[in-house]
Amino acid sequence: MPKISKKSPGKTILIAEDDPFLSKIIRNRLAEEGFAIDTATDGDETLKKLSTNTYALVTLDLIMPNKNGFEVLAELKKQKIKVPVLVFTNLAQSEDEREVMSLGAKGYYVKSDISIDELVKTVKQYV
Amino acid sequence: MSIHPFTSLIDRLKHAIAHEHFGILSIRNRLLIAFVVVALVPSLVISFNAIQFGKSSLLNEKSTQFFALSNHKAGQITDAIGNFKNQISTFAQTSGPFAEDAEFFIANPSSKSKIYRDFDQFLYNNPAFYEISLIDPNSGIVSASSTPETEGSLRSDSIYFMEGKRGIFFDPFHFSAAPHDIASTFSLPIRNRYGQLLFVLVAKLNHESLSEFLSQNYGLGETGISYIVNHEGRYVVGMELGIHPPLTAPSGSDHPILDSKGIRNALSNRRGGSVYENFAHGTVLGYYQPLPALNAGLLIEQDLHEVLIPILDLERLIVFFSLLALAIALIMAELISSRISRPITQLAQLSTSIASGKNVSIPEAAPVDEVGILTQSIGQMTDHLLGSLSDIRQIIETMPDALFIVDVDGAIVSANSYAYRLTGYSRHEMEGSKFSRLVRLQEDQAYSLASKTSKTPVVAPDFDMLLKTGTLSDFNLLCVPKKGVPIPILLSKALLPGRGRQPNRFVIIAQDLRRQRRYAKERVDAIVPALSRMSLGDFSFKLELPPQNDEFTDLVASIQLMADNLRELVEENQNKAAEIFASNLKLRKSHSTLLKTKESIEAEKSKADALLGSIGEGIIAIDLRGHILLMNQQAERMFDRETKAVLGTPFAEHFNFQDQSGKPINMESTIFDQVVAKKSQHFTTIYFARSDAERLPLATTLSPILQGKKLIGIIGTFRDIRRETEIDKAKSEFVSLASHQLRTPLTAVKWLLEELMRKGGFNARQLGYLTDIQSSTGRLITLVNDLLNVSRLESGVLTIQPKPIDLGKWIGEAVKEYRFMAKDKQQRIEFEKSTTAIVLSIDPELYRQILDNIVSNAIKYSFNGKTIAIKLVKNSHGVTLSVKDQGIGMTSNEKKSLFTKFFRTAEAAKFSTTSSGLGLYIMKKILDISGGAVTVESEKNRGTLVSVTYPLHGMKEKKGAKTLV
Repeated sequence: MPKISKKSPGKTILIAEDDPFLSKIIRNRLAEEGFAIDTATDGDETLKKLSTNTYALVTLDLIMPNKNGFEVLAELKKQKIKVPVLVFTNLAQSEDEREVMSLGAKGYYVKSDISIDELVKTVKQYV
Repeated sequence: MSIHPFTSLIDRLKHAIAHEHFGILSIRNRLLIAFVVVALVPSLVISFNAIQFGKSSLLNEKSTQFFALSNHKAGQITDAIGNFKNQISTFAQTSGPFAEDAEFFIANPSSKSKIYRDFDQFLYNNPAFYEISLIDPNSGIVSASSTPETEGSLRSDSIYFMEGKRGIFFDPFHFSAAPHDIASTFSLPIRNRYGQLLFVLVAKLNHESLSEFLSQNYGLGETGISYIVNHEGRYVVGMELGIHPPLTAPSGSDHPILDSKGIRNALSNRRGGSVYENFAHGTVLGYYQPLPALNAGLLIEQDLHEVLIPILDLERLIVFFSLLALAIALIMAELISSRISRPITQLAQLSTSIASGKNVSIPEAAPVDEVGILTQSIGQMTDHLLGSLSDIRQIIETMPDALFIVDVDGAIVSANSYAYRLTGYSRHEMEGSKFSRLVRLQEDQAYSLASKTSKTPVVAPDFDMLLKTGTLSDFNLLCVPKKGVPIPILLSKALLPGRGRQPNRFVIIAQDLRRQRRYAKERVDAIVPALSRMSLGDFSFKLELPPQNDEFTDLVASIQLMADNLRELVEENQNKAAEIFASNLKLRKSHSTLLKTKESIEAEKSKADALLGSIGEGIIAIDLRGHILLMNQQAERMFDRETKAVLGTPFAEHFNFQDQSGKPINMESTIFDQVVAKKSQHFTTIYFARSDAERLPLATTLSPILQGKKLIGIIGTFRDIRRETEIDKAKSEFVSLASHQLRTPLTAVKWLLEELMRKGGFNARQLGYLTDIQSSTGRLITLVNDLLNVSRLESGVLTIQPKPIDLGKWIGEAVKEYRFMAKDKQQRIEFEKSTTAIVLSIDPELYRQILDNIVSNAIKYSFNGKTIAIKLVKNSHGVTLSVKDQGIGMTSNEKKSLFTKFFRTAEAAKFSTTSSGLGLYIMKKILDISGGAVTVESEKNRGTLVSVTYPLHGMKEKKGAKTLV
């Protein structure tokens, strides 16, 4: 039974993640924390949803079908869609981090190196 | 003995004197010619050159003078015109008194008195002007003029009318059909105070005022003239200011210089310059100076003949002096030659009398000069000759052979003492008698070849005939004296050529052969046996020298010497033959060895060539000057160069190597710094831009070629690593993606476990299992990261980007995190550093990997509650970071395998389960590629000290594609 948080009512978070298990864990946990959740499983879907709806935050995976996370970030920059993006990925190289940050992401986190608690804590910092 | 040399000398002298004396070019004439040539020719050449030089100098000087003169005059004219312009401008100024009068005049056209008064006043005050008029600006008709008869005439098409409406305009002079109309004209507008144009004022300039400056012709001689010239359309118009008045307007044909090519060029270019023209009436030198203020130019000219007068005078002077010098030279030559030739003539006469054998008196010439010395020498020579003559006479008288002088008819002219002794006749009996009759001759039977073959007595040859034509020494003859037996003799004769009137004669010498024959027989008898022994090869004899020294003495000595030499030679040759034989044998052996060696060298060379050609790497060898010595086929293909085209040429010229970013690499300095200076191999990856635009990455090894310790060249090995690079890239990308794919499910497991454990509700055992699963998942994630790092380190794609870091401060930050990690095992972490900052150039990510590895191991393998000491020290060798733990330690055997992949000691595996066994391997790899070093000291169950040292310059920079995870 999800409980509604009083802290951030009505704030919708878009989870862009192609792995169904990870997507599910993040969705459940954030919902539990009181956020409204929307999900996308590839780059095109992510961009489509971002251009039609308004979100408080996007958690973005980098390796996704159709368009990868880098392309999504580049497209957002090009279309001037302003939304805070936190990148959660399993690509662990510092050059990936540099590229993502230069494309305007607010943060870069290697999923295998953080706990789900840390993920939630990070999201809350930006919403 | 002959008197020939003496006769010949006299003859030659006589001949020479006669030739000199009567020849056409006598000494006197030659001296005359020499004098004239020496005295006159150089002075004529110098004079000619001086005249030429003078001419060109004069022309140069004149040009300079013209330039200065025309400049001066041009300045004066320009100033004067400026002055006139001021005068007329002041008169016509807007809203001035004249402008007011002009306005009044417009209002009252019939009342011109004010205007006329103004005109008169102006012309009176400014005598440079001679006429002043007002022109209606609309109709162009002269409304009022100081020369009233021009009033009513039309000026609408004149340039000064048109230009004068706009502002002040100066027309220097104007060419039209009517010559009297030429005038320098100022025209300018007259305006009222509202700026309305009332009239065009035209003021004509009195040319006397200009020519006042120009009429002086000083510096231009008598033929000098100055002109002001203008160029209108295709006509040249000139004004001859020097002869003003009256003003003239000469056309081009009247004044050739105005229509000349030079002046046309000067005018059309509007530039100054010298003018040098040949006209029918003479040559003119001039200078053209532009006068921009007048829209005209100034021309000054002078007749060239007048310019050159000083030089022409000089020329006449030189001709006069040359003739004078010729006359003096002739007189001098005559005087000197007569002084020299007189004594020579005397000498010639003297010589002639010596030659004719007369008694001579030697002239006493004082040796004051060369001729005197010559005369004295000839006197001395004559003395010597007379002395020699008496010597010869003495010799003839005392010689041991008979000498006869015979005339061409065979009659005896004279004879010597021995001749009388030999024949027994007196001088009286002998002189005048026939040589053939008085000295009776018959064939010597004993020596006659004819007598041996025939018993018929041989008839004596016709001696008189023989005397003239034959050779007497061919016959064995006998002299039959007045009394006694015939004496064998040898006759020789010589012709005494007749001199002057003296006819030819013969000298006949008869040698008495009796004594000589006796000697000869004795000597020959002694030699013959020796010669026959020599012919048999026996050289071991001793000849006795004849008791008396004669012509055989030398012969005997020679034979003895020859025999001795031959004996030595024979002995020596026998030894030599043996030696030659031995060395010949040796040579044959060496030759066959050499052939074999050559074959094997050729075989080795072809093997080496095949080997070099077949290997995959390009190979280039260069000498110490950087010239190419060798290049294999692979290198030919790789660099697209033919060996024969580059052999022996500088290496650096041919190959434009680049670094990864495309910057050119100076291979010469790389070779020198890395290989020649260090005498060690150098490995690098360079790029070669081929002409087909492809860029080859080349793994390059530069190795010194050493002969003993001496460096003799460098060999470069180039491996095309395009394929390897591609494979590396693909591999690296694969590993990167693969590790990503591995991490994703591991993350899911990890997070699910976290969620499960968060929700809780498990008993102790279940919670224990879940913790173990969590730990294993953690290890798997670490393992994936470590494997990815190993892959990057091993493939060499890792990048190193050092930057200066304050290491003490930086490690201090990390230590805070380590202390947090160490809490679980109640361990203390101490960090000791110097008070001064230690700044080192490092890649912080890599250094952190090293630090993390050592410290996490120390925490992992230290016992609970112990202290881990971290220490940072800088000395002259570098910066050392050491970490000392109090833990399980290891044996020296285990220590050996410490840095191998997946190595863990048995104890360690038990002690900690969360290690992948790759940490230290990764650390060692990082140290290797970044130029660091590690030492490990350890004692079982006591602890381990790990020290990492970097040199003072820090990490080596390296360009690669990847960083570590």
